[in-house]
Amino acid sequence: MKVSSHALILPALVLSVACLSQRANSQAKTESKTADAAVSGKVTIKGKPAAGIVVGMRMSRPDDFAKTYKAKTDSEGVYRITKVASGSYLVAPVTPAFVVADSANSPQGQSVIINESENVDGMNFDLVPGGVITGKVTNSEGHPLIEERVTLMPADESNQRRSLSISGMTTDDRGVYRIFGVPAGRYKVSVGDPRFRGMNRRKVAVQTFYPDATDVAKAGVINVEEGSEANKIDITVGEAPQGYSVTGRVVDGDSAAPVANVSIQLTTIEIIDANNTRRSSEYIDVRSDAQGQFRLPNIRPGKYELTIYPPEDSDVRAEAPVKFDVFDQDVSGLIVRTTHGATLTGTVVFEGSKNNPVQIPAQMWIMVYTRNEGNPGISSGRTARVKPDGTFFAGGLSAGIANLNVESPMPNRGFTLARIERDGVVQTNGIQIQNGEHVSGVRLVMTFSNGSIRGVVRVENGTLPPAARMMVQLMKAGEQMPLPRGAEVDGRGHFLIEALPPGSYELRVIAYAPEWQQQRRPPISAKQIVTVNEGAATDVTMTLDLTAPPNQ
Amino acid sequence: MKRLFLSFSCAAIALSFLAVSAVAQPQADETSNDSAKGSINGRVVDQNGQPLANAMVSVRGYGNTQRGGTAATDREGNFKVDGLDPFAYIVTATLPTYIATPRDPDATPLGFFRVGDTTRIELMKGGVITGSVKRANGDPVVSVTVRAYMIRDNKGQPPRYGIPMRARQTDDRGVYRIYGLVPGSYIVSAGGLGNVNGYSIDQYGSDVPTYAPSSPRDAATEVSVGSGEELANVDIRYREELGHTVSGVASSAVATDQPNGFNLTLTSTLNGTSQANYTFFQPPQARGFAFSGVPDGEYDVVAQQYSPAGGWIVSEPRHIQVRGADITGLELIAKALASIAGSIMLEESKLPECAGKRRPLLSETVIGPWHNEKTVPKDQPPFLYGMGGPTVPDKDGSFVLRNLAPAQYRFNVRPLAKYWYLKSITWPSGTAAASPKSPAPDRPRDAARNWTNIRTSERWTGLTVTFAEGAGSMRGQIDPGEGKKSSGRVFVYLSPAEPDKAEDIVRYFVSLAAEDGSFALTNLPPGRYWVTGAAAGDSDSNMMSKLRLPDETELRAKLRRDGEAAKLQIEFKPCQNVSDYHLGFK
Repeated sequence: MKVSSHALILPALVLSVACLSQRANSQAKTESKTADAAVSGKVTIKGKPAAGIVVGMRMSRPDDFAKTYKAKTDSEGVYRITKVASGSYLVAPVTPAFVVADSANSPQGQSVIINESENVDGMNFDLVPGGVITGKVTNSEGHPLIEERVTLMPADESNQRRSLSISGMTTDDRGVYRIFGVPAGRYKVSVGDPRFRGMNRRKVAVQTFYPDATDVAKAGVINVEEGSEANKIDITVGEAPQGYSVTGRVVDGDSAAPVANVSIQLTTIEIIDANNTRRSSEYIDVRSDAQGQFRLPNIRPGKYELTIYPPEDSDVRAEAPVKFDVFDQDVSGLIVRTTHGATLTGTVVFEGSKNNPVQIPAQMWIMVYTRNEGNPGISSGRTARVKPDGTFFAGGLSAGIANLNVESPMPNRGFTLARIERDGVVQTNGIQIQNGEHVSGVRLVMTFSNGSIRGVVRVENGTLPPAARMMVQLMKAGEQMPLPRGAEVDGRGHFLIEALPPGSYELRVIAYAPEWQQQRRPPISAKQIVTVNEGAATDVTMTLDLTAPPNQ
Repeated sequence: MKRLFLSFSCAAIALSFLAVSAVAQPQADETSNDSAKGSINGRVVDQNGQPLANAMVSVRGYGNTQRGGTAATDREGNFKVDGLDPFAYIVTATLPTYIATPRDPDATPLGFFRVGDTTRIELMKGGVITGSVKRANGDPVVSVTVRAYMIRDNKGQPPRYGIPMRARQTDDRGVYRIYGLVPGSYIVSAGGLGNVNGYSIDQYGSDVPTYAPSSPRDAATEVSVGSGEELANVDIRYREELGHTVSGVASSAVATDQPNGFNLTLTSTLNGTSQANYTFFQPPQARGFAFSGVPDGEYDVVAQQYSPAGGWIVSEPRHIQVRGADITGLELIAKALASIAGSIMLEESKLPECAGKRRPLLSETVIGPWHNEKTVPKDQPPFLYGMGGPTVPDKDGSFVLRNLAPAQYRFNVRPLAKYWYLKSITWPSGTAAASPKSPAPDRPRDAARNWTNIRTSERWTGLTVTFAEGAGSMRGQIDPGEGKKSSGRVFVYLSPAEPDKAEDIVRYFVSLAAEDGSFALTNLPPGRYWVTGAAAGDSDSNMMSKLRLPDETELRAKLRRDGEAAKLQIEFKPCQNVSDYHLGFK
């Protein structure tokens, strides 16, 4: 599988993991590690040594405290990154115009687990020139469409949900875009992808593919080869249908009094086929006024749902979303009724370890998702900010089972959510909330977790096929569901899982290969039980027997 | 997780006080309904008057961004934002590749709008700079960040609140294209000044920036770009020289509830003037900040943090010299900026001729701090002064001017009701006036006539702005001399004719005559005035602000002398409107 190689940029997403950071601890942890490992290898372009190429390395799970490394290849194409701290990393050459030809890699780079003072060599990359796709985006009158995002997707139907993120995907002031570093393959190009539609982009109402198709099945296919340039891939966007205004009021469901100053949320419902609809919400800057009235200007024909998003610390919520259609005229008279939802107040507490003082991280939120038993498909979410004293308040909740997740801008670094208590009783399956109930006495107990598992996988009775990948899953001993804490196994069979609370775990290594998939062979796996101690790394060696029966 | 670059939005608010070009229709303020909600509507056009569709118009309350709304223009360029409470609003329009036509502060002295106003916003096409970045051997430099810095506007002035910069990356051929540029003089650089963080690798971030054509900063070629112009072949031959690192930690002297991380700004200076700003965001849990690829030179480093409750906290700038080595271990401690709290007093008139006149709406009154850039401490980067924006008083007339960087200040304020005038701006009488021997007090009794000196983190209360009822107004026409047409810009001045009022700064007025020669002067304190007209010199701009600058004593004295020589005097009795005044002009 040919993949592209670009500057290693991880979008700074809020990672929804049930772990927290603890600054004093992580500082101590990093400073006590010696940073004198090294990573080296060779970069070639179609087999020939490539000089002056920057190879970059970043942590597999970077956070605001992490470092990145880089080094340049010499005249022989050899690079050496030094003074590396141990950990789990991704290495890739920074060559946006090229594509890494190596088949076993993920698009983000080769993963490598590095131990203290280790010298890892042989991290080699062979590059081929990427292809270029360029063209102009205009409307039916020939005017350029400026700062429109161009989306590239594989032409194969099975992969169409995936879109690639490559340089050059926005049109400039002439409507021109130029996408480079594209891996060889067949593609479809479009503008107005709803996933990237910002507030301003009302020019492209309907996703339009090259050359001018709104139906993906009718889109032109662009063939990209090594070093090729496909130009004049121009997209003409048809006239946007006229928008209409939608007006209504927000009122209290009991007293019919107007509800002022609430934010209106609009969800667009697209019908994909008989069984599938796609819902998308975009931010609109509309609030109800003192009379509870609101007006949404310029809404195109389609199906929609309206609800409200009340301010922080309020328990108001809409009784139900208001569905409406826009055909060919303004829509008025929509009424959104509000009710007082249930509320939940609680505290986040830390069971600190004996040696390490606890410091509440700077920014912490609790996500509360309520699942209604009567309507299992419907769930609603609320975000509650945790105040410096550890308390939080979530309002406007609907009745049902509430699951709580702790979120923090920094991914796992030392703390995990161990259990949720309500009035001293541990809640294993979420918290039951009645209509309008005010739930209190909730404690989210966080425990210290800085154990880790350092492992090697030995493959027996054969070797893995060239494009094979191995992954490790982790679950608490005795449970069925894997934790969202798996790890990739690097090219040398190493893996590393950090920030674990002490306890007993089941590790499962799974090997996948496209060859096996084609031969209809199932993946091969192996299991092992491991004990993790606080503040220590547990070393484990797992054996993957390629001749074992696949019934695990 | 907030990565707010609010420093830019605050500067933008201060800038838009100057930069919005729009014309407000005169208000029939006798009949306006104070408590009704209303709308602001208008049209967005280009320099040729052609409508611009799909422009985003943003209406934001002064100092209160919760108020307002946004709207897109339709095919005719028209927009309407409704549901607005009476307030002072800034209206800005944006459209990719277009820039705001700089507001002429003489033609439209009011930088803000009120409910019921109709506006015409003119945008002009920005300029384009394009070229390629290549190595000495001709290889393209791919995905390098190219930055264009505007070091002077098209009037030759350095920008007041710091150097604007736009950046784009090169493509696989090394070609870059930067559009939407404000007309002016630019220098262009490639590479360097990378942020060192845990997420991304900037392959050119450790290099020293290379300026077009292939130089360090002091040998950079300046290029000029006009509106709608495309400047091609601004090529850069990339020098691969490693720069140095400037690193440290920013922290806060003020306990904050919700720490947002810090914005670090590294301002390079050349010959004492600010050249460019580089920023780095230190997130809340990070180890610190680090700029890489810093060339040798002199810099100021400042850390800022924004907290929704308390406004900005800013560190003292650290002046550093990079000379062949990294600079590490900088500690920047951010403190609160200065603030001035005050109130607006209204003095009603008991005179019968002023009965039944509308009072000024406090929600439509804007008080703005104006700093004296001539005496700003050398190490304070200009962008800091964009943080202290204007504010609108509360219902009871109290206001706070926040986020003031250390400087000398005066205050811009005017009542918008027809029969009211600005009587005085004062500090409490405890702060005595200076004698010729002692230095000027920091807070003089007459804060209109004298600068107020504000130092770091000072918090002052008691600034009183007094509006009094009884203003006069005049409308008139300039009569050109026989056989001559009046051409060019003409200013009409009023200066106090009564000798005991000569130092009363609030009695000096100026207005730019319209193309047809008509002019209007409003909100005038009752009394006698000299009327003079003068053709505008090339450097005469923003005259109303200039007239009120404490240092411009000679300008005001000259106006009085010219007035005495021309012998054109006018007297305004309380609430008197003079219309159809003809001013002969040679």
